[in-house]
Amino acid sequence: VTAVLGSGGSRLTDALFFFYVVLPLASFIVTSLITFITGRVIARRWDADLDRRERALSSLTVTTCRWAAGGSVETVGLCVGCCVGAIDRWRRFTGSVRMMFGGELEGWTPILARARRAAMVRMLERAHGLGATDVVNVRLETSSLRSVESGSKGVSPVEFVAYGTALVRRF
Amino acid sequence: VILSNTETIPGRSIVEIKAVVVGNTVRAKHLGRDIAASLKNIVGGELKGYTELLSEARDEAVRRMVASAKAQGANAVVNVRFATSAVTAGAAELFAYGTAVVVE
Repeated sequence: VTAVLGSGGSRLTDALFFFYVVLPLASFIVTSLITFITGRVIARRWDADLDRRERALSSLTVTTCRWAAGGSVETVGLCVGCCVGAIDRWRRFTGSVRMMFGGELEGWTPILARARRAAMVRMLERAHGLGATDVVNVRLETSSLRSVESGSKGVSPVEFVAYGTALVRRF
Repeated sequence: VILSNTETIPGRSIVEIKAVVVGNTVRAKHLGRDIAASLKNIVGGELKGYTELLSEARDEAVRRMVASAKAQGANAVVNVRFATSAVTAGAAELFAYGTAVVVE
């Protein structure tokens, strides 16, 4: 590398070049390639896990409306579920390229959707644990957490919160 | 204390409205968790450490809200809402609020 760039001076400049140019570039390329693969693996496993858990919850009636009609309500309880999601290095890179041209960040949409779904599933599992038949008035919230690493710019982890009122109804 | 994010407690009627009750907590993540999370932030997926931290903090905010409702003599809190805000890098405020009421 040093021969090509013609910086074959002292050993000090070689060392500086290595630590400030070659090493960061190499680590960026390596982490990008690794997370390109691991990102897919994480997505596939997480989706399969959420599918399995959602099947177990299929008996619940879930609504964003305030009230579920019919029967008499025995117990009421507030249920909350949350999940913090992060975007991997590779998709951050493809996203930054996309941001130059505009349009949808296709890599990011499913990541955020999946984390939101995880928050929802956790909330429903709490409700299921209370023996609920319905969860009414479901609300979904998103907030971005500024991390030390990301600072004012960069990509922050995103927190998803799902909450609703679990009802135990007797017919 | 019964909690609900609906305007009324389903199946019961409200006899008295006490006050708006709030509970909040500002939490910072500790170093060990932050190192693990910053590595996980590169790989992507769920940051489990942060999820746990925030749900514990949210539970604490709810406990404070409930304590304040009890102090007012209420037996339920309706229309509960949550809010999260990242105050600074490394710290977040978890906030819960609702209306303290007395139900039958």
